[in-house]
This record gives sequence, structure tokens and C-alpha cells, in this order.
Amino acid sequence: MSKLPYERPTLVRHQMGQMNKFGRLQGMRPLTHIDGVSVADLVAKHGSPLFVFSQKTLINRYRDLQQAFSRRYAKVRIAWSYKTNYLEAICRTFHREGSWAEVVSPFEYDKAIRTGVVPDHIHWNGPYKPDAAIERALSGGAMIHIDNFDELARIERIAERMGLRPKVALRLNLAIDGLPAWSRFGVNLESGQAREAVSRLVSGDRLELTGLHSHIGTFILAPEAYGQAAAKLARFANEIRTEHGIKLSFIDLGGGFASPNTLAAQYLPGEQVSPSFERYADAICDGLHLLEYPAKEMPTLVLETGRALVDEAGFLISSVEATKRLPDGRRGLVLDAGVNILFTAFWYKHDVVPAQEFGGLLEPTVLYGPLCMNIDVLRDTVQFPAVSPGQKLVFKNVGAYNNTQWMQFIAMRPAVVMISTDGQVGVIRRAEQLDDLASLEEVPAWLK
Amino acid sequence: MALWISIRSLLLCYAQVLFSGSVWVGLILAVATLAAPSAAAMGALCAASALLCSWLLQLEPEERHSGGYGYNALLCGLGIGHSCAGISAVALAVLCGALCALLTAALRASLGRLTLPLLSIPFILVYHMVLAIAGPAGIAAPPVTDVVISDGPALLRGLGALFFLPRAEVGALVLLALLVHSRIAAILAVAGFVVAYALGVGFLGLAPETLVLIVSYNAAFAAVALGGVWFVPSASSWLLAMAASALSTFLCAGLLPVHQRLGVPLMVVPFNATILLILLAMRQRVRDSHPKAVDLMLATPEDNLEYLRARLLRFGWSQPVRMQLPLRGTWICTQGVDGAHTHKERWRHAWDFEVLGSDGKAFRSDGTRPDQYYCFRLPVLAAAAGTVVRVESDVPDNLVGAMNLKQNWGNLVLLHHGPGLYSLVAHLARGSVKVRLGQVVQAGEVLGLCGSSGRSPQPHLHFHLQASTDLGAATLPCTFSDSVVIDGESQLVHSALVPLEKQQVRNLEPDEERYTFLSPFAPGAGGEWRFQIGDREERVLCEVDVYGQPLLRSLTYGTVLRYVLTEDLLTTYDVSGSRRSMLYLLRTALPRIPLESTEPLRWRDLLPGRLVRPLWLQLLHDFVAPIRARDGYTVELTARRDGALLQVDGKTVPAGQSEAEQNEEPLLRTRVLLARGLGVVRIEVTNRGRTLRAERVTAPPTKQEDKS
Repeated sequence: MSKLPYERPTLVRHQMGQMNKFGRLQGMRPLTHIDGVSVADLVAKHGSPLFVFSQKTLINRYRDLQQAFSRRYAKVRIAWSYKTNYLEAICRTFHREGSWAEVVSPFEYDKAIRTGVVPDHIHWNGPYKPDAAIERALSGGAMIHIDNFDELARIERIAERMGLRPKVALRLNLAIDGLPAWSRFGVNLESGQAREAVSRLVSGDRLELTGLHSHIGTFILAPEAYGQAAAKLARFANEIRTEHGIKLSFIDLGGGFASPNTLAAQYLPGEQVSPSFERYADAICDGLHLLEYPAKEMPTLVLETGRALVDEAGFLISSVEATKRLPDGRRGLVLDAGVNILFTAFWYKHDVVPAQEFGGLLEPTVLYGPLCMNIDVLRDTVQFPAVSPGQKLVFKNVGAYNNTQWMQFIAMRPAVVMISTDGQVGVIRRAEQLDDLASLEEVPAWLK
Repeated sequence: MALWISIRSLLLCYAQVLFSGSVWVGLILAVATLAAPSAAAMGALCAASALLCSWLLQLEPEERHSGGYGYNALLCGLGIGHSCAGISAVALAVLCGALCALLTAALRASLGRLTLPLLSIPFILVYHMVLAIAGPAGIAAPPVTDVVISDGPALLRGLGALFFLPRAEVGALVLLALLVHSRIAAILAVAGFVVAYALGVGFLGLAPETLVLIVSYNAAFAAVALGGVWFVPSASSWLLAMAASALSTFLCAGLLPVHQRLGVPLMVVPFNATILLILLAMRQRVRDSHPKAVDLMLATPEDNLEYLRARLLRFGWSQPVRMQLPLRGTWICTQGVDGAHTHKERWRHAWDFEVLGSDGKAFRSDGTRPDQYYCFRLPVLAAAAGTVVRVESDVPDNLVGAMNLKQNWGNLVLLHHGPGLYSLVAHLARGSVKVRLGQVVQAGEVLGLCGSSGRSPQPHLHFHLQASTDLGAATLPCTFSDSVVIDGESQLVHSALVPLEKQQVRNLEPDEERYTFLSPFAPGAGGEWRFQIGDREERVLCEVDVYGQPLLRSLTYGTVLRYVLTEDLLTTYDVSGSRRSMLYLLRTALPRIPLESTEPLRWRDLLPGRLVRPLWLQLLHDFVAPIRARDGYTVELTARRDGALLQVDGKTVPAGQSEAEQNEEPLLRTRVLLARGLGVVRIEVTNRGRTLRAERVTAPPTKQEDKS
């Protein structure tokens, strides 16, 4: 009989009356392999911490979304939200599946073009569009979503100067029962501003209105909210068709679908609460049935889903550097990944599991990052098994926003790899090195 | 102009005798008749008289110009020329011509009502009359002996006998005319003659001279008419043709003594009797196939063959109405024709569809409730436009595993699409039916939501076609037009899909983007395009003909390419006229293009061999065309955006092989570049290593309106 591995003693404070009488199921399984590739091998080859993306999950999520909507509505288009994750390999994976690009800045526009997106497959959103960018977008045929009256006037002037009559969309904001107002972007529907903007656009007679856009918020857990938004857009589309004879070619419901993450303030785990694509699709397509358009001329439904497509495909592997016992009895783990690279730790209670088999009881544990900053906490108290320095943990559902909002603060940013559908591992962003940073810096002559 | 039309009409009277519409064939035959100049003149006079009469009476101009009113008169005139003489005979010929035209007009309508052709019945009636009055009127010509007795092959003399000239040189010209008209017809004529000769000499004991003078042309032309004119050439039509020539030989042998007793010649009576008899009999068939009757009378047997082949292989219509899949998005066929569960016997032509998740299961969680199934409450669509003739919507949805055998079909919608064509969608969700009895629906309109009512142990959609309004009526075969089959990463468009079990299928999902590249093809867009091919420049006009069909016409060469642009795809049809035109390249490189911009989408088409073969090879090929199972090349096409251009690439693929198995260089490679709002800007066709290229010369002027 072989010797059993050593198991560290665990201290668990006995707590009563916190849950119902059945208690909470504390099932935790290790994640030793991602898409069949061993976590240990990945770290050995590419270092730790390490972001890992599963191409299979990216594709499956994309197809699930695409199919859930196209089984319910005749024309559906997905525009990949660049700000969610603009690593080129991720974007290419989605574009290969047929997605367009949704960009919100000149930088993202250039990034999309560089990735190989044709300009007329780009939706351009956002409140900031400098003149030079508008010019470039118009000459390429990108779809500009107008945010405000000043921008409308500017686009008209530029279009006139260029001798073009571009197709544009109008971004609306609208009130949804039970949701906080998301009125920062676009023109308001209820106040009549949207109606005014359409009249202004029609009387300007320089732009052709072909789309309406609204984005009701982010991480929306109630599909009915989208039903309301779709219905409001449909009614408005009917109204401007009757009044101005405008036949829209698309209606854009933006993004905001929830991923399986658990919000910091949420009680039940996200995997149980976040609605499926089918439920969002039911609500939106029901709302769009109010459109009074001939069946063959129904506008295309555009979705700018970001988070719900990419979150599940992203994993962050981190190593335990040290363990300590805190004065309140909790165990503390010092990890090599902090909020500098896992920015979304501020938003979610990330699902995190060991990357190797474990035994023993779970005990309350705090996961700290490597930064010498008090805010660097990745999970504040999670029931976690005992792990030793050098062992690995895997954070799940980290695909959205981390690779775009991470910062080079105190530490360098680590490598990102992708596991292809046939099991190949490829680096899609190498780890930063000092030279990368130094190359941007210059030392003035008087300091040399 | 009027003179040319008259001459042309007259020549076509000759051609019509051989079922041809070619002036050249008419000319060869007219030359052939010149072997007996006076008779030839009489024939031409009689035909001209018929044409004049039909013009005076204002009979249908199309029929007049194609020689339809004159070919009987022509035969009659030739007959008069050989059996009568003198100035009175000329008057008789003029009279008979007019009479033939009258009889043609009168009989054509009556026989047409029985869907039977006129053939040469007017000639038989009028010429018998002529023979009856020739003696008493004293205009009968003295018998000419040297015409009857002549040397030469029996086949050629027999063919010549049709024009009252049983001479080898006349027969040779007739055979030449047949060859020019149609290689298939020529083979049929020879084969028909051989059958008649073997039967007549070997079995019926007919004298060789009788065979030449009477049997041969009856048998030969019975074979031509049935083997290639009224039936699409094929092995079975040839069998029928041989049977027809045997039958006409029997009729000759049987009717000859009767006619001799009556004192009138037999001439083409057996031919007419054979054709009418067989056509009437064949019209009683339950299923029109093997041989397939010709639906649309075209110019030659070769055209009939190509038309039918193109229809079957390119479009494969099995029902007269275009059907789409009754669903949106990708579904999986869980039971097809002759399925394991219920699609058997009278109900074998039916399909069940469900939806699979990315894990390959039809449901999420444990699948114990109908609402856990992905397909539950998804929209179900009308497969084609129609009228709602039956609706059921109150049957409860079953629990998973349970079946309601009392209301077998559950909630359903039955649509009427046309005479004897109904489509049924069944097992819909309770209360989900969105249409009313009598409502007219468009293709793709939502009828209800998928459910699990009736004989349905788990949510699924059942679809079939049937011929009556009865529930439980026998089902009919169905093909779904332009549907996509998804197999892993491959997405292949099938022009006529019969879904198989486990196949993932969807409809084409057209989008505006592709349309912007093809908008110049839109009827009424009416542009003139200029192309450079080598050092030549060609101008092509996009227009709509009087029947409302869009076409491209080469202003340089007169070549015409017909096409159709629907919401789903652009399809090019036949190209005819000079082969120098770039329209042949366009037809080859762009047989069709779906208006869906999914990049992995592939589609296939069949290029008729004619488009790729040189003319001499095509003429040789005609001889064997009917017995080849298929003719042409399967091409596979893909489209992808390349910057501002759309690039459509095609290459020939061996039929029935996947791309992976293909290792040799394809016979044909094609590439078309299209630009937004401009249409075709470049075509390249590489055939056996040789590349032909057509390049758009000038872009149409850019929009000027914004300069103001």
C-alpha cells in the first residue's frame, strides 16, 4: 500500500443559522485540464499567471447565440463588441463565424481594420467621434450610430464636404421598468428628443437613417427588460415609417446579456441566475413582433453581445505564493495574479477552483494578489480547500473586459494563450517584458 | 423584310416535315426536291398558296411564320407534281394549298383539345381527294417508271420517298438535313428504318420495294417523332421509338391490302396512326417518366434533352411549388423518408425536425419537461404561400414520453398550395396557432409554435405534403429548394434537398449585403456594361423582355443570357447565340449565387457539357447524349469578401466525391469579382490550363447628385 499524501490540518469555525436547515452544498471539483490540455503543462510552458482561452467555447457560445436568435427571427447579425476583448485571435475567431465589429473609438476602428474587417462591417458607437475618425468611417462605409445633436450636425457637414449621402443609425436611450436610467448615451425616447432627432435628420436631407440602436444596460438579469426595449424600438420604428416613410434596415439591441459570473452583491450563484440566450431571444423577438413591416422587409436584428460570448471561454491560471493565517481565523492565500490583471474581481465573486486534486475540508479563505496595495483582493472570503505554495488555481469566466482593462501596474502583464478546437496551444499575446515598456520611454538630454 | 419573312416561312414549311425549325434544314430539303423540278415547283406553289390563304384569313401569324400552315400543302403539292400534269394541275395545286391551310386551322384546334398533334392528316385527306379527281378530270400524269426503279441503298431511297422521290441522292440530302437538324433524330431515323427492314423482310415477308416506297419513312419518322420530339430522348424513349417503328411496320403490312382494295395509296397513314395511338395511350400513364413526355416543345431533341436535364439536375423539382423548410435557423432531421418510427407505408414521405444544443442533446438539463427541449415553442413557418384549409389548436401538449393516439396529428395547420398539393405541419404547441381558417399566408409566415401534441412523445415538428384535405391522407414526395446542409464546419447549399436522418438543415438566410453586389442585375436596373476580352470590347445590356423575364443581351454579338434574381439567389439559365460573347464566360463562372454572406457557405451546380466542349465534340456527343446518365460537370462555388470586392470562386469537382478525396487539378476553375453597386467587374475561366478573361472597361459614372 502506497503512502497517503500529507493532508494539512484545517480549522473551521462552527457556524449556525446562516443558511436554511439543509445548509449550502459545498461541491468543488478541481479543474486539472482546460479543453484536454493540462493546466500544469500550460504553466510549465508559458509561465504563471496565464490567461487561457478556449476557442471551442468561443465558437460554441457564438453559435448558441446566433442560433437562439435566428430560430426565432429571420435576420440576425452579431457585431463583436471590441471593448470586451480585442485580442486579435479572439476577434478573428468571431469574425470567422460571420460577426461584424462594434467599435467605440478610433483606436478600436483601426484595430478592426487591421484585423481584416471590411469597413462596411463595422458599427461605430460611443459619444466620442473626432472629425478625422468620422471622415475615415464615412469613406469606408462604416455604420455610424449617432449619439447627440452636435455629432449629427458634424457628420452632416463632413458628409457634405465629402459629397456623400451616408447611411447612419440613431442611438436612443429609453426608460425600462425596474432598471436604473441608462441615459448617458444617445437621444431620449420618452422626452421626444428621439423624434426631434429624426425630424432634424430628415430635414437635413444629407444622411439616410437606416438603423435604431439602444443599449439598456449591462449584466441585465431580466430578459423582460429587453422585451420592453425591443417593443419600444419597434413602436418607434413604426412611427417614423408612418411619419417619414423611413424603412429601417436594422434594429440594434446592443449588448448587456449576463454571463455565468456572480455579481458581488448577488446571493445566488450566477450559473443558476443568468438567463439562457433562448430566454433573451424569446423576449426580444416577441417585442419585435410589434413591427408593422412586410415579412420580407423586416429589419435585421443586430446584437452587440460581448460579455456573454467571451466570459466563459477565458480562464486565469494563478500560482499560490504563500499561505497565512489571519487574526480572525481565516486563511489567506497570496497569489501571483492580482486586480491589476483580473480587473473584474471588483465586479464579481469569481468562480475559482484548485488546478489539482485536493482533500480535506473547505475553510473560509481570502485570496490576495501580489500587489503591495490593500485593494488587491481577488476573493473576499470563499470556502476553499487547503492548498500549498506552488500549487495552481484557476479562475473561471474571466474572458470579458480583463484583457482590455488590465493595467501595467507594479507588475508586467502575463501571456495569453488560446487552445484551438483541435487541441493546439498558441500564444495570442506574449508576456510583457521590461523592453516593451522601456521602448516607449525617453530620457531627456539633461538627465543623460 | 416582308419578302424575307415569306421566303423564310416557305423554307420552314420544308423544315417542318422533319419537325425542324431551322431555315438551313428547309433549304437542304428544298434543294432535294429539285431533283424533279416540275414537282418541286408545284410543291412550292401549293405551300405558298397555303401561306397566302392563312395570311388572308388572318390565322395565327406565329404559326404561319414557322411554316405550320404550309407543310401539309407542301407535301400535297409535291404529290400533285408527281401524279398530275398540265395547266389544270397548277390550279389544283393552288386550290389544294388553300384547302390544306383551312384543314390545318380547323383540325389543329379540335385535335389540340385532345392534346394530340395535327401531324400530316390534312395532307392525307386532301391528297386522297386529288387522286380521286385526277382521273375523271383528265389531269393524271402518265406513270413515270424511271423514278420508281432506282439503285442505291434502301435507307436513302426510303427517306427520299417521303418527298415522292425514292432516289439515293435525294435521300442523302434528307439524311443530311436530319443530321443538321438533330444528330439524335438522324440516329433514330436510321434505327427505325433498320427495325422496319428487319421486321418487314424477315418476318412479314414484304417485298423490298414496298419497304422502300412505303414502310421505310413511316417507320423512320415514327421513331424520330416518339423518340425525340414528343418524348425526351433517353434509353426508354428509344425503346418506345423502336416499338413505334415496329408498330408502323405492322400497320403498313396490315393496311396495305385494304388500301389497295380501296384504290388509294397508303402513304403516311401508318405514321399518323402510330403516333396518335401511342400518344393517346401514353397520356394515360399515372407517372410521367421513362420516357418523360416533353412539356415544352423546343427546337430539337437535343434541346428537349438538355432542358429536362438542367431542370432535374440543377433544380430537381419534384413538386410544382417551391417549398422551403418550415423552420428558422438550424434544425436536425430526426426522421426522414421511410423512417424507423412512423414514416412508413402510405406516410413514408414525411420529415420530423428537432433542435440540438451545442452538446448534441435535444434538451437542456434532464429533458423530462417539454419546455426543456430546445425546439419547444420555436416558430413554425409556411413552406410556401397558400391558404389555410384546416386548423387544430386545442390538443394539449403531452408530457415527455406520452402519446395521444386519439388525436394523432395534435395541433396542426394544413395549407393548400395548388391543385392536389397540401402541406401539413403537426404536433404544434397548444394554443400557439397564429392563423385562421381561410387565411392566405405567404411563404415563411409564422403558422404556430413547435410543440408536442398528438402522437409525439417529445417536442418535434412534423412536415409532409399530401394530395387532399383529409387528415391521414397518403403523403407525397417533397424537395426543399435551396436549403443548407450543415455537417461540422461544412455548409453546403442543396438546390433540391430531401433531408436525411441526422442531417442538420436550414433555409438560406439572405441578407442585404450580398444584394448590394448584385443589384445591377435587378430587373429595371437596366445598365449597359462594357467588357474587354483580349483585344475585343463587348457591350452588354441588362434588360427585360416582353414576357417580363430579365436577360443580358450582348449588343456586340447578339448573344442572350437569361437569369432570375430572387430574394434568395441569382440564377443564370440558358445562354444562346454566338459563342464569342463574354456571356458564355459569365454563365460558366456564375451559375448561381446565394444572397447570403456566410463565408463557409458552398454551393454546387451542374454546368452543361455544351458550355465547355468545342462545337465539333458537341456534335459528336449528341449521338450518345440520350444514353449517358448525365452530361456536364459538377462545379462547386464559394464566395468571400476581399476588401471592397466580392470574389466568387468555382471549380469542377468529381461527382459524389468530397473535397478531401480530390487530388488532381480540377478541369475547370472560375473566378468572378463583383463590386458593390457595380456588379461583375472581372470574370476568369480556366479550362484545361487555358485562361479566358473578361474585364469590365469603364465604371458607370459615379453618383453626381451630391456635387450640387
